Amino acid sequence: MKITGFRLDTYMMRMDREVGDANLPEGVDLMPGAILRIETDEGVEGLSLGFGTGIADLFPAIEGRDPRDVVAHWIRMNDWLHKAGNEGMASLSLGAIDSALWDLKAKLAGQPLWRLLGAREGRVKAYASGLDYSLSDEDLFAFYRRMAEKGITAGKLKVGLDFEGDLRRLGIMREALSFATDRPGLMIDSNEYWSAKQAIRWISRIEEKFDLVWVEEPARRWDYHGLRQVSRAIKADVASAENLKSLHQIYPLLANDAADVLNISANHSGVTGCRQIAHAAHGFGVPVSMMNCQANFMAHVAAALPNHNMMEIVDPGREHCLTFDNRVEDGHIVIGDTPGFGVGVLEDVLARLQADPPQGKGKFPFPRREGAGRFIVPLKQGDVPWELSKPN
Amino acid sequence: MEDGVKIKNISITAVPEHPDQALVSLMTEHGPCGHSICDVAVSEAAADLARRLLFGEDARAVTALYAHMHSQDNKPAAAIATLDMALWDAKAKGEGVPLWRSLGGDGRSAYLISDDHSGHAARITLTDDAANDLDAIAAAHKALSRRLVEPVIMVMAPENWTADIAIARMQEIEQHFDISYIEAPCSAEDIEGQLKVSAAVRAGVAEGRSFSGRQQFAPHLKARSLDMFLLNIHEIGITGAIEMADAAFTYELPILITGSAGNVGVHLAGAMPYFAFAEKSVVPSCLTTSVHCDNGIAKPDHTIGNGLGLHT
Repeated sequence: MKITGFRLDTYMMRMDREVGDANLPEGVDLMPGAILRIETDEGVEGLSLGFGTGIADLFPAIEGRDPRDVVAHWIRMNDWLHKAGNEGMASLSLGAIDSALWDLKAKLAGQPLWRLLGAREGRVKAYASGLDYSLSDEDLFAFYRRMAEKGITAGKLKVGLDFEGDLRRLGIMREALSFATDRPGLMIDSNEYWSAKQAIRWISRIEEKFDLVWVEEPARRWDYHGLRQVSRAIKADVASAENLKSLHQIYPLLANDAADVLNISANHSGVTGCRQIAHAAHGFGVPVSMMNCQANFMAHVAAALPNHNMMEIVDPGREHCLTFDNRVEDGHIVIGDTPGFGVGVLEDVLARLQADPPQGKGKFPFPRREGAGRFIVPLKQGDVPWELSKPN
Repeated sequence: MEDGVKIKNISITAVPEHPDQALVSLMTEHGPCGHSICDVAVSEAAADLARRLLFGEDARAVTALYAHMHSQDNKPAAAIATLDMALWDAKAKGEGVPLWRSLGGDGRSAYLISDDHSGHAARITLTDDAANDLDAIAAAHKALSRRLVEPVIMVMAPENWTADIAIARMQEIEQHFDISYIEAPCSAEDIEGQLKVSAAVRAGVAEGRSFSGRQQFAPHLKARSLDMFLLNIHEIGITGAIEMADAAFTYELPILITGSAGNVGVHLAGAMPYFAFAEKSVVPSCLTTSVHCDNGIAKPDHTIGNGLGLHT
C-alpha cells in the first residue's frame, strides 16, 4: 500500500446565500474551494476539502509511503517545513494532506472516520451560526428559526459596528431559537474588529441585557494579554484561535489562560493537528469547538474529541459539487456510516464550475475592515439590508 | 451497531512462573479478542469494570470508552489502562494492522533507556551514598559513550528527597558528569520544588510515572514545571498517553514511555510528535511480544495487534 500521486481541484462556488461579518458587513456569496485527492497503488483515494494549494512542494515528504501511518507523516511534514515556514499556506497544505490521509486510512479500514478515531457514536451537538451580518432582520429570523426547527438551541451572531443593531438582532436570534428551548445559548463574534478595551465596553453593555455563552475573537488572535483581559472583565467566556494554524501558535493562549474555548478546524494543520490541539486543551482544562466547514466533514473529528462542546454549522449552501453523509436533527449533526469523511465529488458539477466560474459578490481573501482595533467606522445606509441605529 | 464487535466477555489467565501477572482478554461476539497484561489485583478490578461499563459496547469506540470509564467515581485507573490496552489491541486486529499502524505511527525503532547499560540511554537510581552514586554514573557513562556521541543519563531520586536535597546532590554530580534528566527530584505534586530544581541544576526535571490521568498533568502544564513527561501506559492507558503526549507537545517537551509489558509501549513511538525514549522491560519467556530489542534499540514487527499473548 503506497501513496502514488495526488490531484488538486480548485474552483469558485457561489453559495445559496450571502455571508458576512464586521469586516465584510456588505456580505459575499462567492467562495473559493479546493478538493485534494491522494492516490494509492491500490486505487483507493483519500479526499479533503480546504484551501491548501501548496501540495506539490510537500508531496515528496509522503510519496511512496504507506498512507495509514498518518501521524508519522504529519511529524515528517512538520519537520519538512522547518525552514520553509510551517505557517500560512504551507500549514494549510500540510493540513489538507493530513486530512486526506485520515480519510484514506478510514476508507481502508472500511469505517467512517468518527469510528476509526474511537468515537462511540457519529453524533455531535451543533450550534447555528449565520455569518449573518448581511442578512436582513427577516432573513436572520428565518435562518435561526429554521435551525431551531432542527432542534438547535444555541446561535452565534456577527456583531461589532452598530450597538443598537446588535441588541435588536440578538433579540431576534433569541426569539427564533426559542422555538427549540426556553433558554437559547447566545454567542457573539466580532472577528477581531475591536480592540480589547473596546470589546470590554461593548460586551459589558450587551451583558446588561443578554446572558452570553461566549464572545469570539474579542481581541487579536495572538494577543493573549488582550484576550485574557476581556475574559476577566466580562461574564461570558472568550473563544479564539480560529485564525491560528497550529498548536504552537495556540501555545501562548493556553499557557497564559487567555481563551476559555478554542475554535478549531482542519485548517489547524489537519485532523492530526486539530486533535493535538484538542488534547493539549484537554490537558489545560479548556474545551474546544469545531468550526464550520463544507459538508460538515470535520464533525467526524469532533465526535471523537474528549473535550468538544458544540460544532458550528452555517449551512450557506456550498456543497453543489459534493455528496455527503450527515444531517442535522435533534440539535445534532448525525453522521452516517459511509467510510472516511463520507464525502464524494460530483465530477460533472465540478467540471462545470471550473469551466465556467460563477459570478457574484466576492472579496477573497476577506480583508480586515478600516478602523479595526482603533475606532469603529459606522455603517452607511445601504451597506446592510437592516435598519441602522440613529446617531445620538 | 454491527453485533460482531460488541464486547461480550472478559477472561483472566495466569502468567506461568509470574504469579503476580495476568493476561486479560476482552472478547467480542464475532470480532477480534483484545489482550493486555497487568498485575493480578488490577485484572480483577478490570474484569469488574468491564462487566459494569463495557459489555454490550462497540469495541472500536476506544477513546470514547476511555473517557467514559474515567468519568466514573472512584475510578481504578490501572484497570482502565488495562482495558484501554486490550481495546486498542482489538481495534488494531479489526483493522488488520499492527498496533503502531492503527495509532498512525510508522513502526519506527525507539532508543531504549535501561538500568543495565544495554540501552542507548541509562537510568540510575540514586541512593543516600553519594560516592557510590558517582561510581554508578561513571560506569554508565563509560558503557554508553561507546554508543551515542553524547551519553544520555537519567537519574532517579529516592522517594524521600526534597527539592533542596536534590539540588545539593545534583550540583555535586554535575561537577563530574553531564546528566540529561532527573526523575522525581521531589514529590510529584511539588510544582514549586520542580521549578526550583530545574532552575538550579542543568538536568531536566522528569515526572509522571505514577500519573493516571490528565488531572495530574494539568497543574504541571499550566506551570510548565517539567522538562520531560514520563508516560506509563499501565497507569494512564494508551489513549491517555497519546493525549498527554500531544499536550506536552505544546511546549515540545520530550516523552519517555516507561516500562511496559512486552515493551508494548514502543508501538506508540511513531505516533507521538516528541517521543524521545522507551524504558526497557524484561520480557518473561512465556510471554509473546512483537517488539524486538537489540543493541539498545527496540522495534515492533508487523504482527497484527499489540503482539501480547502467552506461548502455548
